[in-house]
Formats: sequence, structure tokens, C-alpha cells
Amino acid sequence: MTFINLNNVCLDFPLYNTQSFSLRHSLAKAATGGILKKKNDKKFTVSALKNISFSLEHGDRLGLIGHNGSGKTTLLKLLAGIYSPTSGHAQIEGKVSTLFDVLLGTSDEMTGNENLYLSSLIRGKSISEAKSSLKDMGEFTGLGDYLYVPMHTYSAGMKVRIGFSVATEGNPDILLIDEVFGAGDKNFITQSIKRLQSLIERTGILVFSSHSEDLLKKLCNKIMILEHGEIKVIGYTEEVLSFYKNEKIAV
Amino acid sequence: MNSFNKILCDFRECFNNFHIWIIIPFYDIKARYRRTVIGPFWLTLGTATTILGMGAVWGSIFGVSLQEFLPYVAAGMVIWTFISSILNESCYVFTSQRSIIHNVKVSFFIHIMNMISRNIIIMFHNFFVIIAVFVICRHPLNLEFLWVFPGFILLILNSFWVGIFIGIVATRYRDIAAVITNISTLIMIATPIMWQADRLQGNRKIIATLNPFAHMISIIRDPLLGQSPSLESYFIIIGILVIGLLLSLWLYKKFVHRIVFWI
Repeated sequence: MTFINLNNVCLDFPLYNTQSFSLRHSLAKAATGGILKKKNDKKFTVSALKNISFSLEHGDRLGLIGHNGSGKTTLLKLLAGIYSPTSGHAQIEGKVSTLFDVLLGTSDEMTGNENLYLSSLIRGKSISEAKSSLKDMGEFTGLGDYLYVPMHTYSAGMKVRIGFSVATEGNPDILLIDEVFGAGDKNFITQSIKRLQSLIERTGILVFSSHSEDLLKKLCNKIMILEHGEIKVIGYTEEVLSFYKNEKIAV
Repeated sequence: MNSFNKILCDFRECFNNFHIWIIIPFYDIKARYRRTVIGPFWLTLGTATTILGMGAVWGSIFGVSLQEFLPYVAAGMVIWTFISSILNESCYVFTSQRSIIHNVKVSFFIHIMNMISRNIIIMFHNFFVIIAVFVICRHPLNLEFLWVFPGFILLILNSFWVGIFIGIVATRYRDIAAVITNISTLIMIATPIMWQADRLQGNRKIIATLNPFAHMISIIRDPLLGQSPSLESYFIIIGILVIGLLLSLWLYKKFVHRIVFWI
């Protein structure tokens, strides 16, 4: 059973300035009592998500739209279980796979092959699964003999190839994607979109944050617009996109 | 999900994925010594030179024969190296995994076990020094040697709670890492590693009797030197383990959801 069920989820994000990070500050607070604390307590919280409620089930492909800082990445990380809600309930059933930072878990000192292997382990593969998919992943990168050379000799684009092939391997129930396109040469981008599409076809639920309307139209059946951490609209792709356009024209 | 279940869940995830913290530390060490000729045996060589130097200098200051003093220093130093690495690396056990913690949900205990097993691998390399010293000094082993194994288990279990405790506190308060670097030199001086506890006079004996590190080291070192470990040391170490484990799991339960905001 794969589903996502969020009920009135709020997430407050503590912001620490350098002062409240240091022990001296806390000791000073304790020693000087209440008055100074009032003046100097610079601990802000940002409410990153407010009253988020929605549910998704098998087959749903949700696109997230919103300005920078509107809460898209925070929502994705909450769905991944990296953040837990300050209040409200988040029920997420199914094996989650994330495509946030393509270079996750790679080390420059290790070779391409070693990075492919270790990253798959960190992403939850068993030893035999990781070993058996190693050849496939290596082929997809198109790096040939470079796979046996430490990654610090790679260009940025070559590193992305390594990260991308690991991240798009496997059969997750829930796939969370935070705009990952951009690096890699043209040939690799067309290849990677194909690979991504086949991964999406295999997954139960997709949540995808993007600024590209074309991609959203192509990949998603539902769209959510986030504004200041709140859901502005959620609905089927066509309806929401036309609403979004009207809104833009109105502004 | 309540907090107690969360701890159980994280434990289960950590032990179901034991292959992660067996394999990754090996690659870590391999990567660190890539392109060196003798590889991780630089660790062995480093420990060997320290032990030889210390043994020669301190042995002659105390007027103890090298044949008696070297095995003592070798065993003590190898265990201390492990303890001091755990103390220092615990400060960065979460911050160094920032990219992983921000990208996939992985039990935090896995990061702790990664650090511990990396240091166990390093300790095994250092064990060659102990073996070499014992052979050269013709140091006899007897059946008391078997006490080494429960000693090791206690060392590892204690490292586990220390990793959680220091890991959480030092991630929240960045000064702790510097404090621990400073303190660990002091601990090494105040612990019978380069000197023997029975040389302390009068009141100063408490330096060794109240020092938990002295007890931790002696329950592994004594059996290596052919003596049975003291029951008192065992009680103290088991007591510390129970209290430490409860304390650090309480801390973990309370702050596990905040760690991601602190790194």
C-alpha cells in the first residue's frame, strides 16, 4: 500500500545565528538571568509550512510550483522523512527515493565505480542488488575507463552522471524530485530524461518540484501551488495551470 | 509514532543495514591511504614509533626494564588511541554526514556505527604492534587473555553511547569539539598509560581510582599482561555503560528531530 496523507502539517524552522550556537551564549544567559535574555535572545523561528493537508495515492504525480522560498524543498524533505512536522500528522507509506542533490554520498577520493557502489548502499540497496546493478549504472554514465579513476579528476558534468545514474536506479514506491536538471551535456540530458521517465513509470507516487511548465504538463496529473508555506491551490494539472496563468496576467 | 518507537525503529534500521557500516569504513580507510605504498599500515607504523619512543624514554625515567615496560605501554596506547579517536570524532559524527542527512532518511545510529567500525578497523591494524612487541619482549600470554573479549565488547558499547551523547551536544554547541580536543590531552596525561598506577603516592592515588578511562583501559590491558582484570573496574565500567546509555538515549529521544536543523 503506497500513500501519502498529510493532515494539518506545520513545520517551524529554528534559525540559529552564530551567537546562539555557542555555549558561551547559553552560559551567559543562565548566569545573567532573565533580563538580558529578553534583549539578546535572537532565536527566530520561520514557519516554513503552514496547515498543509493533502493526500496522494498510487498513480498520483504531483507537481509543486512556487517562488523561491515558498516551501517546495521543505515539503519534499518532510515527505522524505528528513524533517518531521512541528504539529499535525504526516503518514507516508512506501519506500521513498529522493533526487535532491545528485552528488549525495559521493567522495572525490574514490573511483567512479566505488562511488556508484557505496551510494547505492546508502540509498538502501542490499549488497547483491548494488553489485548486480553496478554494470548497468556504469554503462549509463558512459564514462568508460574513467570509472576506475578517482572522482577528483572528473569534470562537474561527469560527477553529475555518476550521481544521476545511482539516484535513478531501483524501484521506489514514492519518488521525490527537486529540480535536478541543468548539468551534463545535451546528449546526456536527453538520455537522462528518458531514464527519469522510465523511473517515474515504475513508481507509485511522484512529487516533483519544477519551474518548467512543459515538464510539469508532461509528467504530472496534479499540481500544487505553494505560497509562503501554505497551499494556495491544489488540483488537476490543466485547471491549476490555467488558474496560474490567469493569476499571472492579473498581476 | 511515539518517541520510544522511534528509537526502536532506528535501532532496527541500523542493525538491518549492518552491511553499510561494515563496508563503508573499509572504503573510507582505503581512500584515505590511496597512492601510499604501505597504505593503512602507516597507522601501524605511527603507533609503533610512538610506543617505542615513549617506552624508551619513560621506561628509563621510571627505571623499569624495556622488556617489562614496552608491552604495558603498547597495550595501553592502542586502547587509548581508540578511545581518543572516538571522543574526538564523535563531535563531527553528524556534521560530517551533512549531505547524507539532508538527502535521505537514514537512521542516525548508522552514522555512529560507521565511526565506531572505522576505528575498530584502525585498532586491528594497531594490534600488529602489540603482537610484535609481545613477540620481541617474549611476553607470555595465559588463559586470562580471554578476558580481552568481554572487555572489547564493553569498550564498543560505551563508544556507542558516547558517540550519541557527544554527537548531539557537539552538533548543537560547536564549542564542545574544541573543549574535547583540549581535554583529551589532559585525560591522556592523567590516565595510567605511560606510567603505572601503583607509582602514585598517597592522596594522588585517586587520579587512577576515580578515572573511568583508567578502568576502561585496565580491563583490556590487564588480561593482555597476564593478570585477571579487577572486578571493581568491571562494575564501574558496566555502571557507566548503563547510566550513559540511558542518558544518551533520553537525549536522542528528545532531540533526534532537531539534529537536522543544527548541522
